Amino acid sequence: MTRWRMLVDNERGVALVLSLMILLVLTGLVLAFLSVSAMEPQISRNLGDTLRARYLAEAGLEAGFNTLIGLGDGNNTWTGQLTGATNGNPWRVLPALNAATLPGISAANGGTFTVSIRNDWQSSDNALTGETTADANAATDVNRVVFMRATGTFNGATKTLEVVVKRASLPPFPGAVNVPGSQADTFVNTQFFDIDGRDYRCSSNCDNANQWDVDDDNPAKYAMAVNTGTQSNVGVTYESRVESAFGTSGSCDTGCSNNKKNSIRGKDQTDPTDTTTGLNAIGADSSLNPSVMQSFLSKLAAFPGTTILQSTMACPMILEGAPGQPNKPILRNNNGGSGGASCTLNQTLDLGSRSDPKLIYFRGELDTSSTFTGLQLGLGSGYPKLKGAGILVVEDGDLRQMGEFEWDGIVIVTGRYVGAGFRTSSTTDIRGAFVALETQPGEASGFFEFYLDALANRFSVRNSTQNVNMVQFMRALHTMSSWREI
Amino acid sequence: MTAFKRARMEEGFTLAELLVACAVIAFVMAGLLGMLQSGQQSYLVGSHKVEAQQTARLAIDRLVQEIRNGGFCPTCANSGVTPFNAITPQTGSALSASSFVIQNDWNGTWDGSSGISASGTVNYTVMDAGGTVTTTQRGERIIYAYNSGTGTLTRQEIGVDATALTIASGINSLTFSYLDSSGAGTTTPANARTVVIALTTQPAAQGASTSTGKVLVTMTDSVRLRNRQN
Repeated sequence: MTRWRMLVDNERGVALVLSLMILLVLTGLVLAFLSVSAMEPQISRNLGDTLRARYLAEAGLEAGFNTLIGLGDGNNTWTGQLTGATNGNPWRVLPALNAATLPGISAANGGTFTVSIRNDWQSSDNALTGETTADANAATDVNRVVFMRATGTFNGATKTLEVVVKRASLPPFPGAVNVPGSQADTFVNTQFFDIDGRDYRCSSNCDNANQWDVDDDNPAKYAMAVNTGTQSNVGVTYESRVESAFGTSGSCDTGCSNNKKNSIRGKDQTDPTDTTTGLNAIGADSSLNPSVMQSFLSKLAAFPGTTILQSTMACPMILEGAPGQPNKPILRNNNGGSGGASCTLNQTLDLGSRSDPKLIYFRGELDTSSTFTGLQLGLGSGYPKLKGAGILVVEDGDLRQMGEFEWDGIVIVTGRYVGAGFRTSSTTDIRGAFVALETQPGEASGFFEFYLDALANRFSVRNSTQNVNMVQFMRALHTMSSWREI
Repeated sequence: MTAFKRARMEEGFTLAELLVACAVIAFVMAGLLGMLQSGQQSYLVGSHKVEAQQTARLAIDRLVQEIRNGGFCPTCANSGVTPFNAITPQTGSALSASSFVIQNDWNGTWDGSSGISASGTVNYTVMDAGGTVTTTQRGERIIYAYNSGTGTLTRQEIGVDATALTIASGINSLTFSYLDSSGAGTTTPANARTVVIALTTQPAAQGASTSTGKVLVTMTDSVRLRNRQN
């Protein structure tokens, strides 16, 4: 047998070679399958992570909005939050919102979000904010409009959302009671009431009226403020028009007149650093006028979150107190209108509280006869009380106060052929500011912008910067719009 | 002679031995075949399910992303500006279950009655972290349509895409429905605030039965229009 033949016939050791070859092939196959099946979960995980990052960014927007609402300087702008912003580095991270985590969830388990803002100062920004003029530079906010951007990050996936945040700045309120419209017809038929332009504040138990004290550190406002100028249909100044309600007339003798004058107290127009009672506490100030108020209300009404309650002459609205729930009265629209049985509205309306102030916006309709009551408060003495906080607006309709009403914040009655009447048996406490603003010049005499009835049980309006600020920084005066993913 | 040496001297197997061996092997192979078939079926169903799920996830993710942005309108918070309809029908006046149009106003020119582009492109600006503004051209109308004949979902950004582009295929059924601000169903464009997507997908090579890899995956999602608050 040749050596070659011996070599071919010798099969010893072939099993090892074959085993190794088969093992190699099988290993290759297993690895290939593993890589394919491992890819699918990775794709799913990436999708899940991206989704989570997006929700984190949404959470960031809400957190950032809440933060921005509470921030502001003396002009209610966000300039303080833009400190250090430049054209090349415009984004400023909001306090405590840099790589923030969801409550109770660690960054490793829940991811993080970062929220920053920038000013609108570039010409192209108007297309995104809807404003007609942008600010001058990256660091100074004047128009109270900023961009807010939130970036959510989870497991390396990031998503960024951007919105525009706007603030409606309250107009100035130069007096506790303001009658700054085109007419300032005032009727005061009671001798003992309380209109006080000094600044009232409260530190605790603020639902108790006795807890509110005068803060001498803050400058006082007028007890009653009017616009500068002359009321065209009677040819006297607005100031004189209001002051005439405090003089002697008919059954009101000198003593009666003096009692009325002693019921008002505020900034002394002859010495603005001091306070006084009497007619010098009634002053003219053009900072609040129909145009300023209209601009504010238009902005407020256009905010996407604002709900306007429509009161009509056919179905005028009335708020009736609910027993034990002064801030959750019943709103009906069957207050003597021509609509009769068709006016079926009957719902609970939340008037808010100091910790959760609300915007309550009633809109009526044009009534050139001046007799339309857009909103009546309460049914009369002895009925359940109404109490709320925030900003109450009655536009294009009279406000008729009949019951017991307590309000922390601002009450505004404005529009054409309107007025506010505090009627027999009513009890009124407003801490903040009250405005009765007629926008229609030449309304017939006898229809008053501010009417205080002889038998009103109590009427108290006090200036409170604390409550005005509470309203300024409430959620309803802010809006988050132009939501987009970038 | 040792037993080992005796074994090496065997000349062959008897017929009976061969038959027994064949029978044993046949039994073993039959069992293995069954296992292989069920394994293959499981693999087919599993991979088809993954494929269908991916299709559904991607389609829904894309839809959700753009519907959320829908109705982008910088001027709508201004006084006297009535918002335009964020979701409109592709044809007719009532919202359809198979298609819809997302309307945006990227360049903030809507004035309450006109200003949104129905055909061309507009500037779409984004500022980066360094303050640099990037402007791209985007269409303000995006049409999403489901073709039940081909099982595809198409997207066309007017002004950017000359024709509708397929973004997902293998769709067994897709239905859009619309809710108003109180959560009630509506087909009125002005009232639509939420879009509900009900999607069923299948693999590209759908089997005739489960044993041959037939799979249907159903997902539902509802998306609130973030730019329409009330």
